Amino acid sequence: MPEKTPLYEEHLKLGAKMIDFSGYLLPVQYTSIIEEHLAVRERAGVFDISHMGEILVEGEGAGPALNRLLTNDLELLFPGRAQYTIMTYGHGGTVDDLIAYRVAASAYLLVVNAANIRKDYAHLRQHLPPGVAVRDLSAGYAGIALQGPRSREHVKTVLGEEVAGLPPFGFTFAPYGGDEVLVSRTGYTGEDGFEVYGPPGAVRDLFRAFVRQGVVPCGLGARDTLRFEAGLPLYGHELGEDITPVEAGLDPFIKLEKDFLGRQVLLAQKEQGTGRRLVGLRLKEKGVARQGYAVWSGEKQVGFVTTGNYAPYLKGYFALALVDTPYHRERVLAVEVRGKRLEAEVLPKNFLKFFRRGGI
Amino acid sequence: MSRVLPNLRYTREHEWLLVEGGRGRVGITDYAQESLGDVVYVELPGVGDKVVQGEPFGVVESVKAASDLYAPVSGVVVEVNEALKESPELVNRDPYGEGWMILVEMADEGELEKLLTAEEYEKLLAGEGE
Repeated sequence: MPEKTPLYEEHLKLGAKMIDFSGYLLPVQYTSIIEEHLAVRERAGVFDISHMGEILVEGEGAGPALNRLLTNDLELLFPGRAQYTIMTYGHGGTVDDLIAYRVAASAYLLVVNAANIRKDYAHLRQHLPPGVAVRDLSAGYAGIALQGPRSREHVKTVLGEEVAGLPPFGFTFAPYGGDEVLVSRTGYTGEDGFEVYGPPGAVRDLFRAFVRQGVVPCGLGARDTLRFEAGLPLYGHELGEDITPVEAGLDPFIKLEKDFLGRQVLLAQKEQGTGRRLVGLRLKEKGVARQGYAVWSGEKQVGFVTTGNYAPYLKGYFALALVDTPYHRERVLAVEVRGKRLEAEVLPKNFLKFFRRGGI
Repeated sequence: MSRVLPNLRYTREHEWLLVEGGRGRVGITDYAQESLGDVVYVELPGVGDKVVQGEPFGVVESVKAASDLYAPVSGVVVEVNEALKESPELVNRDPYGEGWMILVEMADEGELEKLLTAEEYEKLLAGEGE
């Protein structure tokens, strides 16, 4: 049986359509994915992210030991800061992508994908020395994400000016309703926003407070189209045990000057080139490319779609695809949609940024 | 609760058919559009194409999923709703009206017997938890 999140009753009251996602009952939409998507791009939306996993790694030497399992550099993190990072296997494939919060001098909270909680925990336990504690706190944490250009105003009203003034990837523990919640200036939509993790009661009250202020409740459908439009990877699509972060084009988050599990493979890929690379595609004709659809260059199949959809804000049909090198450098490829090959222009993965800079 | 119109015939795959003389107008039901969510693309046959009862004649794509469209009757397509090219959301907004898809010159009106009445279709929906 899928698990209910602490916000389950709220979702039903708001008329959500619920689905089982990685073992959690979550809203896929309340009214319309497109409406919710646009609310986040233009105003503010709030998501239940209680399914995300929270794993605490702490104890003497936790930092250096954990740093050997992650591609980004934890040494750059001072307390009160979080970073996006990737956990890789020795063969370079991806265990998970996650946000690491340095919650104390020698304690890190890792927010990981729901589907990977157990796997991540086992991987950490296996590779960290016995003196470093690894604790899965997921069951005790609820979470919400407030995203969109007006999030700051709403956070200011509900949690105060100081919290609203957090820098990007900064976080703090804020008192709320007799409890304490972790608030960070992070998100997964390509917009400004905040994520809040904490005890179920406090997080539920916060969710209610934001909705009362007119923030639009948003489901997993919009969460996916928003992250896709902004070119953000989703584990199981753009990342996986057989996809390295170099192939996925996550170079800014891979610090090869430090040592970590999988570094040799990533270094070789970086120096000698990977066999394939993630690209952005814009279909020149109407049609929806879905995960797994073939990508062609002339008469040669050169890759496959990892995510494809209609992009509600950009009002076009886009895809992310893993394409064999050197075809990723071509200007035009074709995506096979149900037997028909549709021409597609190769673009930077972050379609949203490209568009806002006047690229499209 | 999804709307079911009394004057239409239905398929088990959630298409509707409006008989207009020897022709049949085809679309998807309110229940179908609601389950699909935002429709973003509709692939339809061309005028003059043949369709066969029970076989796919097109595809409707929503943000969530792609779904085949099944012909309620056999015949030749005489008109296609061109407005859906630019405004696929009409399928959500007005599934029984402006969101219609094709008009078919029916080959065999006897096929109508195989379609569900509104009452039967309502029962089918009740079985699907509607």
